[in-house]
Amino acid sequence: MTNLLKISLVFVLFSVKANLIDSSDLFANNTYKSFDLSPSGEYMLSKVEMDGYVKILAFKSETKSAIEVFELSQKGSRAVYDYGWIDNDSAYVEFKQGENTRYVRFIDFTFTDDGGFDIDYFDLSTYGVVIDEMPEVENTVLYSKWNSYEDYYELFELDVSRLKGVPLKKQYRQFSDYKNLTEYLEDTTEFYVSKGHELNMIEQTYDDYYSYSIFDKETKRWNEFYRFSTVTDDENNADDLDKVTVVFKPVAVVGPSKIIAISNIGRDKSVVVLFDTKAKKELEVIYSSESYDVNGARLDRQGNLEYVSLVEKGSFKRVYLKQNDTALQVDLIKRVGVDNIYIVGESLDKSQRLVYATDSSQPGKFYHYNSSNDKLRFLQSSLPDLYGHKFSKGEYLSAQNENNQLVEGFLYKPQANGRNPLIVMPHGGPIGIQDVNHFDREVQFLVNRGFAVLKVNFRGSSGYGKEFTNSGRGELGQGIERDIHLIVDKALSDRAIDRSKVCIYGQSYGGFSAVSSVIKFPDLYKCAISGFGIFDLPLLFGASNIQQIKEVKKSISRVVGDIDGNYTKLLENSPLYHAKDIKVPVLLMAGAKDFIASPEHSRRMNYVMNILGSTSHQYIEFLEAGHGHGIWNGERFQYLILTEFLDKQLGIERDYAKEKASTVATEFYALGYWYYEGVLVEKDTKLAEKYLRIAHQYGSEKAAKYLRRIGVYDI
Amino acid sequence: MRHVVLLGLIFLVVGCGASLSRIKDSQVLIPENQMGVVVMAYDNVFNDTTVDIRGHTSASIEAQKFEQDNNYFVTTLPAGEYYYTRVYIYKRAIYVDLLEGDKKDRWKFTVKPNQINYIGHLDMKLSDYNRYSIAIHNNSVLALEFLEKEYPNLIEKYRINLGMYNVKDNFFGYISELKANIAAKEVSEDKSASATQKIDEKELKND
Repeated sequence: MTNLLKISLVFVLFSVKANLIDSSDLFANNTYKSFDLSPSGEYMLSKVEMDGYVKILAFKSETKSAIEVFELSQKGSRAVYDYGWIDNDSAYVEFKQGENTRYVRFIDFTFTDDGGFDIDYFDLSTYGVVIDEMPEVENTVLYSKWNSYEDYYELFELDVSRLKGVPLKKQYRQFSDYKNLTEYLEDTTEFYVSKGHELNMIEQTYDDYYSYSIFDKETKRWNEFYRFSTVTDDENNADDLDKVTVVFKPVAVVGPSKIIAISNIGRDKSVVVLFDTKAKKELEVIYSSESYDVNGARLDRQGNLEYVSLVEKGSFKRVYLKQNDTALQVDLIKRVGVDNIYIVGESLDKSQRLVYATDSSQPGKFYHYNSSNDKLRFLQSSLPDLYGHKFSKGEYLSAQNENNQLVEGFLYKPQANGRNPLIVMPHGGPIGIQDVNHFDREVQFLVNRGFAVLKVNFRGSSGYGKEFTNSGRGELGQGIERDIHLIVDKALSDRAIDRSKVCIYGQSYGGFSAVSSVIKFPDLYKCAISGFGIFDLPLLFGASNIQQIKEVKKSISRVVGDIDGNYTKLLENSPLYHAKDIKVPVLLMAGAKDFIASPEHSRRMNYVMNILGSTSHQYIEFLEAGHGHGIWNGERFQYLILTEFLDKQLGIERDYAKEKASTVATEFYALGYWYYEGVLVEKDTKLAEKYLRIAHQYGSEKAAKYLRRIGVYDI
Repeated sequence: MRHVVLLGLIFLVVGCGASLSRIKDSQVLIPENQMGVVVMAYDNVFNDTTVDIRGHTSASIEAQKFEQDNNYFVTTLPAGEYYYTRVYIYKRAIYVDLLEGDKKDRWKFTVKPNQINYIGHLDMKLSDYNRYSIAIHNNSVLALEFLEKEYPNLIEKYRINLGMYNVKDNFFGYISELKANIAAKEVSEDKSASATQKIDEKELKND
């Protein structure tokens, strides 16, 4: 038996926080990642990130104290991929210990009369995933194991108890004794299993196509019913576009030759269909939305469609198809007071449920719902450090563009009365990406600093059907920006917005859009900010010799247009070649290791603006960043600098009250320290001094220490 | 602005082929209609690597760790088309044949006579399981800034051209045009100011 470390969890934090949110609290991983109910519903597991460790905690569902049953340092490349109950007294944790070492830990629980438990465990050294916990079957799971000799996944029915005590090096031999459900199959990449734990559908992936096959119980054969060639016809652009936008995704087998699938074949939007695998055709549409793509569906244990999911007005919706489920959803939404609730786990008898509640102003809360007594118990917030802070809920805006298409936007406003400066925030992509109206750290940080923020799903965005997505192709710097402006106009009519203080900020394509927009609408925007942006459309084809690979060139052409036939148009639509028309201050940020939007784009814009010298601009190159930051401190740096830039350009003066001083001191100290050390950006002693001085004014003693190190004593 | 580079590298010619040497800022191309300046740069995780090129002449260029503050190599080559053909990584004792398969043109570069030809940054990365990636990156701004600092006379004398094959990129031309326009504007403003001054002086005399 293993000695267990008991942890008392304080499940509720009631402290009321000052309004200014510390950026390190906001730009952080969720502390409570997820929960999992045991098949009986009596016990729970929870994945937690705390103090530099990923931990799995276990506790009795009705209690408030948990016991740590697994811990992994977050240093290096260690990671926990998945975990869960196998049955009522055993669980698993899939984790990565080092660069090439993956394990599954199986944990046996021995419960005691006082409600506590002891554990015993052993590790299986293998690369794979548990795809079915088979909760009704003791100690057994369906395990998808990577076959490194043949490069595909195999599916085994694993009796976990037989692996106990087998040395790590001999474990692989044990697999030959297990039932291999994919014995005569090759190149399998995805498995579909019935509620009775039988493998009934597979995905196979080859060099130039992938396919789906269903198992015929009578003939004992696998029958392919869908094949998708990944090779596109060079000559036929329509065929090419159809290929890149087609959706056909099986959900589950519902009969001998019937499946449920998500599909947009032969129509504009993705819907849920009943598909005949013998006739290889769609039989009927089971669920569709007039305006949005359906992106998911789930069947219940009886094989009936339980719910479908889609993004509706920016919100992740689950539409339950049974009246009882809908009634429960409505009731829970009312009781919790958020826009969306999701059932993320349930006991086998469905009497116990795990509920996740979230929306644009709520980072996420977990609840335990007991239907036998209708009791809803709060478990924990995803981000407990933010508990007590209020966040802004996105307001829905919409307009029709010149193609009579619906363009949607989401406006987030600060709580303060009066008129607020507005930051327009177009998304990246621009094709096939969708902004959602859910909790967004970046948006909430800016709102917390007093800025209203506007997000827009312009033409080219995903989620609104193929036609809407395709209509954005080649419209960079043109129709896309007109769509954005339509929604900006709507936002400006809001009395809470100060139309004299509007800036535009975006990342990747959003950076392009920001700079293009200040050229197109010089009277509206007071500044532009680009993160990891692109400015020179022809450079997308020539940033490296990788873009000369036919397939890569083709994929870029699909978004911006073919360079060979449209070179002049690409130049005309590139803000770099219109830099002389930029009349407002610009902040440019780039990642030195960005291989998606090469830093060359931002360097060029910086170089040209330096030559022109007509307007002020600032250039920051993050030394270790790629197309975005891999670390939260990078994100913090970006948003702190960005806020300072916005304050300056919009004439915002901040005088922080005493209760906020420590937060301000911490943040300016961080900026000073990063410039002093040269860890995120190039070392700059002058800037280090500037920020450390501000930090010291707000009471940071650490700032004083670093100021002395750079020879500053007049503090 | 800063670009991450390894310790300074110097390129030496080893083995057979033409002997390439670093040129000086004051150097001129002889004959100008047949020779071009070549600017290449090396972003490399290894210090013990040799890159072979082949075209009008062949050469093996060895990157050696050397105390130097940049990772560029500026030399001259006869005008024409060239290929990076292979890379030898001493540390792993492996040759990487760049021209294997049907994507040969990715490794092609052009040297135009009487011009400075920037042929890209050669970037090599080694990941797990002895996997490696090799690419040529277009870092025109870094190259331009390097030349402005280290070869001011050379760029005054010769126009710069991107030598990466089949890349439609006129950034250098755009920059030249911008600079010329600004210079012309300044001259025109100077002339205008000078003319105004002369008129003023004349008027004063007349008065």
